[in-house]
Amino acid sequence: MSADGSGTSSSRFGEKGLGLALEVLEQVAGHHDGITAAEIARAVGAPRATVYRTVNALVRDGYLVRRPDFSGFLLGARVLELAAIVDAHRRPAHRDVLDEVRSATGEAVHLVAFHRSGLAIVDEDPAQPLSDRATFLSDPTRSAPGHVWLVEQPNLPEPAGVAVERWRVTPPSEVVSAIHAAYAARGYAEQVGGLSAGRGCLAVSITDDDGHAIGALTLSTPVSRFSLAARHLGALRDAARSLRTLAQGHPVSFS
Amino acid sequence: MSALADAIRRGRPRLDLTRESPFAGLHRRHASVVDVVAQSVAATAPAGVMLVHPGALFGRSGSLAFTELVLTVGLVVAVALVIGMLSRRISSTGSLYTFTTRGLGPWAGIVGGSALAVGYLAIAMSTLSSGATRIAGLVSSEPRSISGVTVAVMAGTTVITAGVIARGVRMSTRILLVLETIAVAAVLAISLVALSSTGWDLAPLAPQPAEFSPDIVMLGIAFAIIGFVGFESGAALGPESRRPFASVPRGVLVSVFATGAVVLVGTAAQLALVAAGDPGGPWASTSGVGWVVDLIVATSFLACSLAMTNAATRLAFALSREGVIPGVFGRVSLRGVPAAGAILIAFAVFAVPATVLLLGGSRDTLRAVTSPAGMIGFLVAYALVCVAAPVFLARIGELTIGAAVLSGVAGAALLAVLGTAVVSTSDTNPVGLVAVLGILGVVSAAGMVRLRRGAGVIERVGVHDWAVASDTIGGDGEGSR
Repeated sequence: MSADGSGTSSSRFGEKGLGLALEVLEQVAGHHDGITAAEIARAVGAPRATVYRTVNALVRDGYLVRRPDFSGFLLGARVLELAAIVDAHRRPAHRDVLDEVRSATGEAVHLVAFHRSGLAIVDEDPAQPLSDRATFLSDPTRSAPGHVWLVEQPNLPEPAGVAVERWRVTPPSEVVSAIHAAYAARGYAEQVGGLSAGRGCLAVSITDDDGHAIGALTLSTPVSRFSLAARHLGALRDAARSLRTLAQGHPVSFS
Repeated sequence: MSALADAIRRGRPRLDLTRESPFAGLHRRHASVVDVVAQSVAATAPAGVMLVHPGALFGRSGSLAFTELVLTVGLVVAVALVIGMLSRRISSTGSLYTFTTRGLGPWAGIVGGSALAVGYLAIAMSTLSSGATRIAGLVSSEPRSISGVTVAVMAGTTVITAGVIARGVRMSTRILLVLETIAVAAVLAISLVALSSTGWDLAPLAPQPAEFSPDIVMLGIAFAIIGFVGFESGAALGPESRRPFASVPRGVLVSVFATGAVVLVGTAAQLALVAAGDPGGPWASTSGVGWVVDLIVATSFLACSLAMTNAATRLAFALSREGVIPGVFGRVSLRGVPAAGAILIAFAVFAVPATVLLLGGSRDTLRAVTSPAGMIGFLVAYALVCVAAPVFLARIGELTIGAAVLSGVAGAALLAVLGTAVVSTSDTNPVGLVAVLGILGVVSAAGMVRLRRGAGVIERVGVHDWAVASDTIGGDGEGSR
């Protein structure tokens, strides 16, 4: 409609537009004293007319404001509303690894991080969610990642800024030593029927460079296929190694 | 951690922005795109234009009349798009004046602002007297008392205008919208009924190549553009709009397309009838509807006068906040409306034509000045804004080739039309032309004197509804700690 490329298009950005809009906001956020549209276009490498359209749409809706002398853009008050979307939109690096292992195995695969008092779910398989989340997080004996946690006894701090789930069940020492023995014999953890009568899961640990466990990758399958699940161990261990590289010695981030 | 997440988390308050907009006190962020459309459409007065212009247009240009109107609509759309580029970035009650100042600097800005003010006031005065004369003609058949009745109607209208504007922007725009919608619907209905009586003969709309001449076309556009001036006036409501950078460009463009379409259809119908040998239009031969026509034209014109006064009040508000004109025009009432300015301007709009009429002058005496004043004032203001737009966009680093071409073409066309209009007026109405150029010169010079002499005025001009600290992520530093 308009010749300067800042048309009256919908205020709802398309998926691509949203990505560009967030990139623009990121650029503006990095320049406390303001940045011009031309500088933004150079920085994000998008066509200038597209960037002008985007910045004007962001100004229109209050996500950006112009400096009174038009020398640059500043973050508008409405950006505060975006805080949640920003985090949701940013695709975490571990997602690619998980997508690959999920499609290679065809089973539910979840990523959990360890802290000293329990598990934190980092990435639950969106196609096949956990069957009993509450039990998964409260009783370490009922899931394969819980077994790994019992064996490894990680001493990592509880994540800050999120609601921390802690174990509510403390298993008797003979159960823990049985789990230890089984884990030592197998090299991975296994649990059947602990969360749901018809399902079983196995888990491998993710370790940092010093060999300390920082989390676990778990694969869950119906009992009928459980005896064949061990064939996926190679894929799980490869994925766990990739995740260790991504984590760079730090605990898996609680994003 | 991303820079955005970091910025959100830290929320550093901005100390380099002011806490208050230069338009503080004005009732802001409540009007919508409907109000912008209503203001712009009423200022354009399509119903009155459709009833008054086609016959005159045909008289001037013959078979070229409709072609000229189509070209005019194209030019007006181009100017609206240029204004859109600016109103998407600047929100100010000064509208075109502020845009020009931001692009070309204070001196050119004062010229553009003076031209715009002269245009608003000239059209407000001429539509007020024209509308009142028609009402007077309806209520009084005594020729000697017509002037007195006209002045009385003008006085009544002025009181209503001042009262409505003082009540707030939404009050005035909603009233304008209702009045103009009724008037337009009536005109379209009558036009189409009349047109079907002639069997839909549209041949008169086609230009005869033999009659073509660039001068006639240019002059025809200069005349026809009077029928559209005021379309930009919705831009003055930016600071009072909820989402100015969305509703102003959209509202102005919607107004232009709506009035353009309505005027094209209505004019087509009437030109067909006029050309069919009915020089008085479809109305002369249709006895008994003459008073309806007068009533519609009067309604449309009085609404136009209100809209022009409204726009002039907003322009004066910005000029006053800058210190160019007295502070009374920048004062707001309890409702957040520049009511004192509205009353003063409405009174001036009444006083000039009333004085002319009471001193024995006629509406034509007044029109000898207001017609060229409206035409030249708006053409200068539009042309300057078309020159200012690419300069402004280049300065802020947002100029595109499309924007440059569009403003260049529109600006060149406007300057050509302006030149033709000035040359033609110097032939047909030299006194009027001298008067208009004199008024423009005096008003601009007075503004320039204020720029030079007023303390800090030249630094302040170009104020707009800029972002204040609380519009940014860090807030104004109060209550956030």
